[in-house]
Amino acid sequence: MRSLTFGARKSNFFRDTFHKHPIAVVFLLTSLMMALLAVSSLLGEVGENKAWKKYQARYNNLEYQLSLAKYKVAQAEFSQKQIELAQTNPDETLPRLKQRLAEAQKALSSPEYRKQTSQRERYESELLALRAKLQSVRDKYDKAASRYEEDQRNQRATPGQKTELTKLRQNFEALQAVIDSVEVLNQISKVRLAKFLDAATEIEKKIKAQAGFMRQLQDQLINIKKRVPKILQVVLPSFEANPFGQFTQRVDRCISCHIGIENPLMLDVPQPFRTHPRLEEILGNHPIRNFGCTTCHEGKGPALEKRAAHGFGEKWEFPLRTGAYVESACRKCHIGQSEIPGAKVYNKGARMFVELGCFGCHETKGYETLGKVGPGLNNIIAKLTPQFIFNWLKNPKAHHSRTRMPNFLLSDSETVAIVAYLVANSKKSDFTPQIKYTGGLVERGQLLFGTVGCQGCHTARENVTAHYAFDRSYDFAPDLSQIGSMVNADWLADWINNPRHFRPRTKMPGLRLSLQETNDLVAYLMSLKASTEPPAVGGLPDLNSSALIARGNDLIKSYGCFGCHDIRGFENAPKVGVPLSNFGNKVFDQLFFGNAFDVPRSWEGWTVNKLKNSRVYSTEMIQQRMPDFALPDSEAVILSVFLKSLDERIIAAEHVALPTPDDEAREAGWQVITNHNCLACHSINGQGGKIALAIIPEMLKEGKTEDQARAFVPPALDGEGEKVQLDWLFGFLKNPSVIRPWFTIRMPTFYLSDDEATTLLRYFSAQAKTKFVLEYKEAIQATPEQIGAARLLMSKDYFSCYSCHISGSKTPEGPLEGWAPDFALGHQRLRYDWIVKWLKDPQKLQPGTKMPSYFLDPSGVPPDVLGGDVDRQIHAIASYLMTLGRAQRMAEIQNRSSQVVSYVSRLNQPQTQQARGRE
Amino acid sequence: MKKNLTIAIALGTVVALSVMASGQGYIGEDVPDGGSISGTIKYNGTAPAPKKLTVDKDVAVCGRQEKTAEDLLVGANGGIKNVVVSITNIGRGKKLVLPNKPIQIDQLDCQFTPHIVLVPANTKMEVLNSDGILHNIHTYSVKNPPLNKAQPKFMKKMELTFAQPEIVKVTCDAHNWMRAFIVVQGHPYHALTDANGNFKIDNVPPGTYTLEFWQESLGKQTQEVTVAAGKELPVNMTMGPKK
Repeated sequence: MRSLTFGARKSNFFRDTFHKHPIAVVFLLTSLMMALLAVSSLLGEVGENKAWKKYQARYNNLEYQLSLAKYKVAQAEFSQKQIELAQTNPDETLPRLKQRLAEAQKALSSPEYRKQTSQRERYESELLALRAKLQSVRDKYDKAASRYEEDQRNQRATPGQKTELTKLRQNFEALQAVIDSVEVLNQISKVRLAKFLDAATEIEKKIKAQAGFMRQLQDQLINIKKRVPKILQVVLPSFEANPFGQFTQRVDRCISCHIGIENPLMLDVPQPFRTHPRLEEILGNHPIRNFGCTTCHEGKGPALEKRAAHGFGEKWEFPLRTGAYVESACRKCHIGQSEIPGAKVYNKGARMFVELGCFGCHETKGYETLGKVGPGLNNIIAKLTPQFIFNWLKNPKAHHSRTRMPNFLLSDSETVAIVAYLVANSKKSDFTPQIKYTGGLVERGQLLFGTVGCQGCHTARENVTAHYAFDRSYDFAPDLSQIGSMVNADWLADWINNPRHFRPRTKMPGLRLSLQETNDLVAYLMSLKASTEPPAVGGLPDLNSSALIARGNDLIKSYGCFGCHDIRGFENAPKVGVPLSNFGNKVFDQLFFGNAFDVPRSWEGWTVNKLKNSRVYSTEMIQQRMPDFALPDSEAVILSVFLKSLDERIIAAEHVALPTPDDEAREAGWQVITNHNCLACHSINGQGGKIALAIIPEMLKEGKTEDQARAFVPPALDGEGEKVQLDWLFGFLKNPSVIRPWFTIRMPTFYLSDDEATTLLRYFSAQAKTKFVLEYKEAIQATPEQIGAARLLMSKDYFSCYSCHISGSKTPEGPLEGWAPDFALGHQRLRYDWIVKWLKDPQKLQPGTKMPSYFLDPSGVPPDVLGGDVDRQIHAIASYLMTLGRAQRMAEIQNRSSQVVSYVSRLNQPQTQQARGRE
Repeated sequence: MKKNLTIAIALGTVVALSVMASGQGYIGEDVPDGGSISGTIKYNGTAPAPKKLTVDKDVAVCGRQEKTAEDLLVGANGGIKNVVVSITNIGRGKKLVLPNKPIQIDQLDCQFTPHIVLVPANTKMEVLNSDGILHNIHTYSVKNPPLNKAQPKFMKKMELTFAQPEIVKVTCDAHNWMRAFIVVQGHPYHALTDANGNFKIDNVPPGTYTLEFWQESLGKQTQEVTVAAGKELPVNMTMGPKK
C-alpha cells in the first residue's frame, strides 16, 4: 500500500476525505468559484477593458491633442509678440524682463535695501515702545485730571494740583510730537522699501502676462498625461423624496464617460466627449457638482455601462430624456414658472396646455384656478341657431379650420340631444341686444377691420395677420370668414359695441367704435357668408322633448363639455379626464396602446400619437372619450414636452428655484399678457409684435418706405416700466387714450380689473428693475431760468423740437408718420429720469428710433445756453416738459372753472337768465 | 548657432503667417506697371422718368425749387449716373490718397448734395447744414455702428468718421424724401459713374479681380476681369430693375 504512486495517494486522500466529509465537495467547489471570481473581478478592475476606462483613455488623448494645438497657437503668438517687442520696446522682451527681475531681486539684498529694512525695524520697535509709554503717561494725566475735577467740585483743589496737571499734559503732548515725527520717518522708509518690492512684483506681473498662458497650458498638458482611470461621480446627499417621503441621495457617474462635458474645447468632437450645449447658460447656472446629470436628463446615474446608464433595455422607470424632452425637467425646480429662460419648447408647450384648456377635463396641480377657455353657453341661442349649433358640434373645423374646439366625433343622435339641452338651458336666460344693426357700408367696415386692430386676433378671408401674430396651428380668436352665416346682425352689433353685455367675462376687448363704425363693421362681417351652407341633416327633431334633453344632460356630463364652457346645471360637476399631475412619470407599460401596433412603445410615442389622434387607442371593449384636437406633429411634440414635465416627485428645498418678488411679478404679469394676447401687437421681452408683418406691407403698398412704415407699428414695451409713470399706465390700461395720433390701429379697452392692471404695472417695473412706486409724480417744478433755457433750446432756432413733436393743439408740419408724441402728455406719462436718459442717447433706449441725438456730439451743444453745460440743458428740458403739460392742464382747468364760475354767477342774475332764454 | 538659425526660421514663418492671416490691411505701394479699367454702364430697357418728390414739410425752405428723386438717373445716352464700381478683392495696389480737404455732404434745399460720396475709412468727413432748419443724420449700416444725430440750425458743420468699409445709407427723419449714400473705402479702387454712366479705375496692378457694380435702386452685379500691365481694359455693363 505504501509503495503507491503520489497520484494514487492523492486520489486516495481525496477519496477518503470526501468519503468521510461529503460536504467538502461543496466547500471545495465554492471556494474554487470564489477564487475564480476574485481573480476575475480583480482583472476587471485593474484591466483596461471597461468601457468607461476606454472612453477615458480616448478622451485624454483627444484633450491632449486639442490642448497641444492651442499651446502651439499660444506659442506662435508669443514668439511674434517677442519679435514685435524686440523692435519696439526691447526692454519688455521676456529674456530682458527675466534679467530685470533678477536685477530687482538682487537689489533686495543690496546694502541700501538692508539698511532701509533695519532702519524700518528700528522705527517700528521704537514706535511700539513710545506708544506704550504714551499710554501710561496719558493714564496718569487722566487720573490726575479727574481727581482735580472732583476736588474742584468739592472746592478742595490746590494750585499745586493745577501745576502738576499742566506739567503732565505737557509731558504727554511732547511725547505725542515725538511719536508723530518717528511715524513720518517710518512712512518714508516704508515707501522706499515698497519701491524695491514693487519693482520686482511689477516685472513678475509682466512676465506672467507674457508667458503665463503658455505655462498654464504646459501644466495642463502635463496633467493630462498624469491622469489615471478613475470613476468620476457627483453625489447629491439628499436630493429628492422617495415614495415614502424620505429624502434620498442621487449618485451620477455619467461624467466618467461624458468627461469633456464642462470643457469648452470639446465643441465639435464626437460623443460621449462633447461639451454641454449652451455651456455658460445651462451649466453656468446649474453646476454639475450641485445638480448632477440625471436631475435633468434622467437615466440610471450609478450605472457605468452605456445601455444601463441611459436607462434603456431594462425596466428602469426613468429612461434618458433626449432632445427637447430634457426641457421638461426644468419644472422640477422652477415650480410655478411658466416662462423658463432658455426652455423654448417647454414654454410653448406650457402655453398650449393652457390655451387648449387641457386642465378643463384633467385635474392638474398648479392649474386649478384658471378660467374656462371656451365661451359660456347659457345664452347661446341669442347668437346661434340650433341648426348651426348642430352643424358646429358635428365638425367644428369645417366652419373654422383653426378653431381650438376639438371634435368629439359625436353621432347625429348624440349631437341632437346635446343641442336640445343647450337650447332648453339657453331659453332660461333673457338676452336682448342693447343696440340693433341699422345698416352700414361694407367697404368702410372692411377697411376698419384691417386697420383698427381686429386683425390682431381675428382672421377673416384673406386677412390672416392673426396667424402670424399667434403662431400656432390654431387661432387665439374665432376666424370670421363665415361669420355672416353663423350669427345675426343685431347680436353682432351688440357684441362689438359692448362684448361684456352678452358675455361678462369674455376676453374680447372693446374698440371704442362709434355707432356708425360699429354698423359698418357689422355690414362687412355679415357679408362674409359660407360659400356652401352646410347641409341640414334632415332637419332637427322636436328639441323640446324632455327625454332628449335628459339624454343631452347625460352626454354633457360624460363628455365634460363644462370643462371649457359655462353650462348651467354643471357648476360643480367633477372633471371627466384622468388626473395629469404625475403623468410624466408614467412608465410606458402603464399606458394602454389598444390595437395601435405601429405606435412606438414609449411614453413619448404614446403621448404624441394620442395628441395627434385622441381615439387612436380605442378598442371595442375600451371606448375613449377624449375629443380629437388633430394637432400637427410639431405641436403634438411640443405639448408632450410639457406633459412630460408633470411630475410629483418632491425635490429638496435647497434645489428649488425660489422666486424673488420680481420673479413672481413677472410670472403673474406674463399670464395677464398671454391671456389677453398683448403679444399679437406688442413686442415684449423679445417675443410677439408680429402684427408688424401685416402693417408694414400694407404701408409699403401705400407708397411709404420701410422706415416710414415702421412708424405705424404698435410700440415695443421693453423698458416701459422705466419709461412711464405707473399711475399714468394704470389709467391708460384701464381706459386707453390716444398717444400717437397717426395710428389707425388703436389700443383696445380690455376691461382689465384693478388687479390685472396692477399686475401689469408690477410686471413692467420688475422687467425694468425700477421701484414699484405708484405715487411717482414728483413735484418737479422748472425754475424760471430752466423754463427760459428750455424754451430757447426747443425753439426753431435751436433744436426745433416742434418740427416733429405735437404740443397740445400745436401740430407739426408734414405727413403723420413723421410726427412724434405730444409734449403735453409728458408730465403725466413719462418718468423724469427716463426723459433725461432719453435726451442723452435715444438710440440706446430704442435702437433705430427716429429721434436724433442732440447731446452726443459736443459741437451740437449750444454754448450760449446755460453755459453750454450738457447736463444743465438736459435737466432744463426735462423739467420744462414735466411742467409744460401741467401748466397747460392747470390753465384748462382754470379756464373751465372760470367758465363754471361765470355761468353760475350769470345764473344768479335773473336778467342774464332771461337773456339766455331769449337766445 | 544652428539652434539660433532654427529659431529665426520658425519666428519668420510665424510672422509671415500672421500677416497673411490678418489680411484686412490694404497695402499701398507704387504701381509701376498698372493697367486700368474703364467703361460705361447703361440702363437695360427704357429708362423710367425721374420721380417728382413731394415736399410737405418746411415748405418755405425745402419747396424753393422742384425736386426729383435721385434714386435712378439715366442720361440721354442711356448711361446710369451714380453707379458705384469697385474691385472687391484687392489686397495691395496704389496708395489710398487722403483728400486735402474733408469730403463734404451738404444739406442744401433739403437734399443731400452730392447724393453719393466716396470717403476713405477712418477719415473725417463733414456734413453741412446750409438750410438753417433742423436736419438729422440717420445712418443705416451693418459694420459701422448706426447713428442718428440731430443737426439743428446753428450747427453748420458736423464731423463724421466711419471705420469699416461698406456702403452706408443716410436719411433725414425730419424730411423723409432725403437720401444719401456714403461709400466708405478700404482701398482706392472705387469709382462713381458720371451723368453719362462713364467710369474709370486706373493704376490697377495686373491680375484677375472681381468688379462689383452697385446702384441703390438696381442692386448689385459682379464680373470677373483680368487687367494686363499698362493696358486699358474696357468693361461695359448693363443694369436693369431687380427681378
